[in-house]
Amino acid sequence: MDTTLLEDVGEDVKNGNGATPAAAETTRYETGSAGELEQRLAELGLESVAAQSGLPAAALEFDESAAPLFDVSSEEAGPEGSGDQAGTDYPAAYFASFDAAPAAREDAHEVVLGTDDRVRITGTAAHPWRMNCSLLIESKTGKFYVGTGWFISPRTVMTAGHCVYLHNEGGWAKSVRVMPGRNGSTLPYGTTVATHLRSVTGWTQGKSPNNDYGCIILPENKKIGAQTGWYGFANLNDSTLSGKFLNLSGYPADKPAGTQWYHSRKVKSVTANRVFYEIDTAGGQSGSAVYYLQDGKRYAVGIHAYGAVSGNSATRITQGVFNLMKRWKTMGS
Amino acid sequence: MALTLNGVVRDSHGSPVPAVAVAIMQAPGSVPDLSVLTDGSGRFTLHDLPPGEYRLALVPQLGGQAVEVTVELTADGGPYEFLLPA
Repeated sequence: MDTTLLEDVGEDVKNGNGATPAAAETTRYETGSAGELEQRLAELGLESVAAQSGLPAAALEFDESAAPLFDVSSEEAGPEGSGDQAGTDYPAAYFASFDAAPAAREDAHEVVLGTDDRVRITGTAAHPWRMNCSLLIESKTGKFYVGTGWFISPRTVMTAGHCVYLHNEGGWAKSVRVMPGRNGSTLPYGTTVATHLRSVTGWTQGKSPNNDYGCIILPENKKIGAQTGWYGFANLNDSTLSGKFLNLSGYPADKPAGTQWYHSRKVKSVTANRVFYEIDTAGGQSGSAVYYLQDGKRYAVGIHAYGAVSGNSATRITQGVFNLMKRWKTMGS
Repeated sequence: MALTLNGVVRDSHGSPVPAVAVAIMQAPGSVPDLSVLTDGSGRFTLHDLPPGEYRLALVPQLGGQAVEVTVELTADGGPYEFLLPA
């Protein structure tokens, strides 16, 4: 039995100019079929657009128990941010420097797993790419990091636990600058500074890679996800997940600053709390959605967190993670 | 054993370079896919790394040529010095 629980995607909204979304919607293909290539092409907008269908029925059964995860928040350490563009002189200089024509630096380096097959996404203001956010993270110790996040509601941005809580750099990040649909120096949805961060004790206290996930709650006046749309997410059983063809689009720092890159591969292996794959990634892509397409909609099954030659990996959306994500989704609705 | 890699990035004149993105491209084990930017003194720190050989991409965010370097991490320490090409 396919024990699947799905949380709905956000409404796909039109581009600002009223045009139809640039990225193609597609139908479901089974892993291992000739449809894999077609699916990738479709995700890249290189195939014709199929009509979007309704959500599949969810089967409300599970074969695993929820882990005892306890939600924790940065709000204990400080108030929610204003959401206005802010920051120090250093990020200002950083932003002022972005290459408006990043193609000029296409000599950038190859990625971890063999040949670099990542594809540059330039239409990041369009669905679905605009659901992905470039993150600039400032630690309590004043250091800056680059990561990736993705919307699951108007104000909730999912990411890796180590993008919001940095064990060796003072714990909760001082702030996270969220830039949806960023493309180099172009910020189609602006930049929002957030300080309301959430994760689980399994990460903040246990430091377990199995619990390496968290979220960013944007300020109440910043319902940007209502403009971009958001990912659905799914808790799948082992056999269903193992057969999936996965997609990942994020902001690797080995590429020109602030550019979004996409890649896809089938699942390599799964454990109770992790998903492994050979999707090419690099530093900066932590927090990216690892998702599959079903009936033209995108459902995350993991939060990308680790790179390794033996296989990159995501924190798996187990039943416990799924339940907590639903709570965080409500917080940011 | 988890090690810490301390580094400093300098230009061809030996001056520290701020805002260089340091991304791990290849590691001997599983590492967080988080990139760090060098600070105003060109320094950066990467934590919780298993010992072994690393391939790093150094991508200046304020202009300049990117470079890829290899470093053998055997113990805490440093800082390792990395030079960007002219």
